[in-house]
Amino acid sequence: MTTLRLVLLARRVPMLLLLVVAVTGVSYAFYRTAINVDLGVNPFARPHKIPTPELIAVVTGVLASAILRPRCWEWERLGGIRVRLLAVVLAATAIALPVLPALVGKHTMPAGVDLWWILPNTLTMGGFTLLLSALLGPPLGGAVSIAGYFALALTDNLFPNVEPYLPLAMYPAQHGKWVPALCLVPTALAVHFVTRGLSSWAYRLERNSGT
Amino acid sequence: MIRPSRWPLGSLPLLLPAISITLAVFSQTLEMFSWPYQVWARTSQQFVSEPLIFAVPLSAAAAAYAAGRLTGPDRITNLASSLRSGAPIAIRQLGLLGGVFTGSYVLGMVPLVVLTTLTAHAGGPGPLPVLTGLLSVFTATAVGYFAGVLATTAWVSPLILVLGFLAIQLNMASSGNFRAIVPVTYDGAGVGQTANLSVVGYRLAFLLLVTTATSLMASRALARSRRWKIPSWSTGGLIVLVLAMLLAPLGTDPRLAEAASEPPRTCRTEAGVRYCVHQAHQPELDELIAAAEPVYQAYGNVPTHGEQVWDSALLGGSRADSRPDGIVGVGIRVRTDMAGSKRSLQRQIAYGLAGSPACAVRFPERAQPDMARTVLESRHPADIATELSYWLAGRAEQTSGLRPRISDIPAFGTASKQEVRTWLAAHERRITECALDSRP
Repeated sequence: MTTLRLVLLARRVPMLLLLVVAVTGVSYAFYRTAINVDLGVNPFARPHKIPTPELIAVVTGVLASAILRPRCWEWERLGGIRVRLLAVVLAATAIALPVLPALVGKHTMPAGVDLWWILPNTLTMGGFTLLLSALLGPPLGGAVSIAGYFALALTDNLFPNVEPYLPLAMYPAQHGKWVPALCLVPTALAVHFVTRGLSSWAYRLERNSGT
Repeated sequence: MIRPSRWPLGSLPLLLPAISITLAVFSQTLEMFSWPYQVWARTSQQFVSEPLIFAVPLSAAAAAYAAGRLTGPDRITNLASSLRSGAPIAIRQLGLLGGVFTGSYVLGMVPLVVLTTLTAHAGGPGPLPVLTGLLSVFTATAVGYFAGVLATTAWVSPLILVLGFLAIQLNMASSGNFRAIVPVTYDGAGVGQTANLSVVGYRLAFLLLVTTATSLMASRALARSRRWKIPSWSTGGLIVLVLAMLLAPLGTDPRLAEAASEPPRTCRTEAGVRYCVHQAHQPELDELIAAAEPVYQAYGNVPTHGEQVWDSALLGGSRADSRPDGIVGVGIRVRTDMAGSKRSLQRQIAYGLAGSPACAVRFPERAQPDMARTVLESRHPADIATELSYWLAGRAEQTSGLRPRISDIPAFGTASKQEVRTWLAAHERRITECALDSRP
């Protein structure tokens, strides 16, 4: 039990829970708002709406990947299958917890508005973030993840017919896009199993010690 | 080689947000570039609308990132034991960040301002909204910097990005409860209005206070090795003051704009009707006259309650009930869609000629039915007036050769043009009093 407690503390799980409670509260308060992304370049394109809960979920995923990053990397290299399993469980937690802020206010929405498509979007973005956080490290992975998310919004606004080819469902979507989520989440978990949470390349990048 | 560096982070953490802010701000103004001419009131107001929605969160998040990276207690750049720790560090870093981000905001707005200088017909820039917009970006930078100093980690910056988006859109999320504090609203001073100095001044004072308080607290935190401590009396007082200014205007309904006293106007009399527009809308005068003539043709003569047609910017944005008698007010919007603008003008003039403003005064609580059919079946005087406005606008639409929209509504059934005109002549008094009780 002591070992488990130490591991949970080393990965700062209590901090993560605190963060999730806070962002869930914020998301509930602002559940019905959205950010309009409209470059105005294409007069026929409708403005792209980023729902606030979805943005909060993406950012929560990035912060979760940073909070849960392995801080005793050299020591964890020595561990066996249990460390690998722990890395997978923590990655799965980081992917799953943003669902809370993403769907917390769903019941407050009007009857005609269906928001289930935010669930696969959140899982896709969570899987992507965690995949990158293991391969590139949390700072670079998080930056790519958030920048990519806004880039998708811009792409959707700039090219009116591109929506079916994007990995995320865009407001007002009819159906969620499950295929990217089902591909990315297992890949991310597998990568966390192999790398135990952080690849040695990302570790050296973080330590600034070259390859 | 050791080179002296004032900014240990390199150029990317400054350059990337600065470019993003400029591009985002510029793209938000692009829609106005398609207008045939610019209006100073709208351009000034643009400084506190959509562009800020992106500039504020971006500058706050970038400042939080820089502060998180630079100001950790273990950083050589600001050890607590250093002689310069505290205010000098905060002033230098915050000055650089705030200057660059405010500058990039200005850079994004420059094309629109230049275009307005070249094409606007009257007036000049409104200093208050422009100042509010610039100060908002600087305040956001200071708040983000403060958050980064307290968090001692750059990981706070994504959170600040989200919170920045939420804070700047508070008015949209709460139907305008925070208009006295948060600069982005949609009821700022338009054409023919001036900013309400007390409310806008309060807002500026609040932004200044937040900037002062956060930079002061940041420099105090930087001067000690522990970033968090129980606040001193002066810091506590500042926090209380910020909270008081934040909470005081809640629940009030501040007016951000008031009518200008003597708005400059351009008038012309044409076929017995006096048309007046605000000088900023000068090119619309010909269009207004061209749109109005078919409506008066449909009416048959110029009634006493329709002898003047005024741009509502000249009426101080006053609502129908406080309008002087004998003036039909029309809201003029600058836009590129000529047919749509003509249609809208004709509807408004028909609305005024049919006596609907009088109905709004006489039955203030009554809501206009959504369905045209309900209007046609109703016996309420306000609905008969609305039906008359459908009839007038429909005839005008046909005369102007616009695609039929309102003329598809079978207003007054099978009554011929002559029958309606005879009925109009007999009921002119009832129209001005909103007392119609029969149809032709």
